[in-house]
Amino acid sequence: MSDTPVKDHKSRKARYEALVDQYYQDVYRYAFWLCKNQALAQDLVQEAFLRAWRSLDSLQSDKAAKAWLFTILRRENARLYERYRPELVDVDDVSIAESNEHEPDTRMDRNLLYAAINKLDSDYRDPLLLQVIGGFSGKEIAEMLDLNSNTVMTRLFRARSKLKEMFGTDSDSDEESVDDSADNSVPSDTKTDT
Amino acid sequence: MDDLEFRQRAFSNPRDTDPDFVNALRGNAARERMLDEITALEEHLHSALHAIEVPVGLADRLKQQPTNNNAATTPPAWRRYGLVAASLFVAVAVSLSIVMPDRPNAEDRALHNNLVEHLYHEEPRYAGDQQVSWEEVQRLVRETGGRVHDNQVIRSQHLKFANDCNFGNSVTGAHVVIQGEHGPVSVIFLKTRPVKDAMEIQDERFAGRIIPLQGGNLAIAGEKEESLDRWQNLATQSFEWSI
Repeated sequence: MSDTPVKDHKSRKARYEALVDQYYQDVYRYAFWLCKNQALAQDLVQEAFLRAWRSLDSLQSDKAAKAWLFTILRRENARLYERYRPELVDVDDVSIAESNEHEPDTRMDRNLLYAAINKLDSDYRDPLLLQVIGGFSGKEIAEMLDLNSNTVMTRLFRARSKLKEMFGTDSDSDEESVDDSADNSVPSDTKTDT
Repeated sequence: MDDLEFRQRAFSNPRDTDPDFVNALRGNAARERMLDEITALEEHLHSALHAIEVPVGLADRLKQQPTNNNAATTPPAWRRYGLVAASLFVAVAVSLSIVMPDRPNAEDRALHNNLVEHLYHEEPRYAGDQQVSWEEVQRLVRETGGRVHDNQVIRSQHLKFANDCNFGNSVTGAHVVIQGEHGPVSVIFLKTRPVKDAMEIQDERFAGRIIPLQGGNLAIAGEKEESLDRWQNLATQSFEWSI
């Protein structure tokens, strides 16, 4: 019997494991913010990667893998939410990775920031998390959220404006500077992508 | 670039490195101050979001998943099919995932390819908002040698299509389509030689599986995003087939 299937399986598994190594942390962190529950986030990530494994052959390019995984995760989250909507965790319960820099003041600042992020409307929070955790460009976020790029950039603008307001460090009225018509007023993300 | 546009660009993406943004910053103290402020917030944000602790061992568990998933698909459940003689209770297939221990033989691959072709061929017939009655499904199943349990769960589904099907040199079967969460889900009973091992459907668009039965095969197929286990369970609980 030919050993081709074994080799195929091995190379497929190697490809899958490389994806896990490269992306599981960001995928988990994003999952946590999607469902705000650590146990559910783990389930969500496991479901998402299992689906990724099953449909790995449909992934044409590894360059697109991260966006592909995040999209699978978002779909899984939508599916899970139909069955179970967990209570939101208190931000104090957020588990922060051990690090020397986590002095009490830093922890308090971070918890305030988590609370502030939590307060953001999901329309603003979603693109912000995708940009900061996922490192996606405005165009990629637009495709993932099925929005146009200008809308994404406007929402990113508003998300940061609101965070800045909540932290009380901005005396300007950022919100007033961009009204609802601003979905088309922010320059194209082709100019602002990282 | 005026101040408003600069501010919008800075808040949309403080790490913007586009030359026109960088040039608009150069030599403008007020803009530099504003960018410093938002960059400080950005660093704080980036650091905080990446400080969320990832559970220990998660990567290993994720890597084990394909193996564990396959391990859960133990053959003994399949063997139970052989114990059911005249009437075939497909329910034993509940919760099975599929393994592909060997490369499918040519005949099984041909069946697989015919099935996929059939899915594409039939799909326009139920792509719209069609609906068939429960009685039509019962009639089809009866005419193709099966029986439907009066299952309230399946009765409450949006049943889109029910027809006998012929493909692959007159192989006959029954094709029932139920509206899933992400599109139509096909449940197909085929009166043909059982495939050697259960097969995952390999296709760009459709996901699914072909499950060998005694004297036939059951195929479940839907869009990639669909949770097919649910529909497989429902199908196996609802249909009884004498093939």
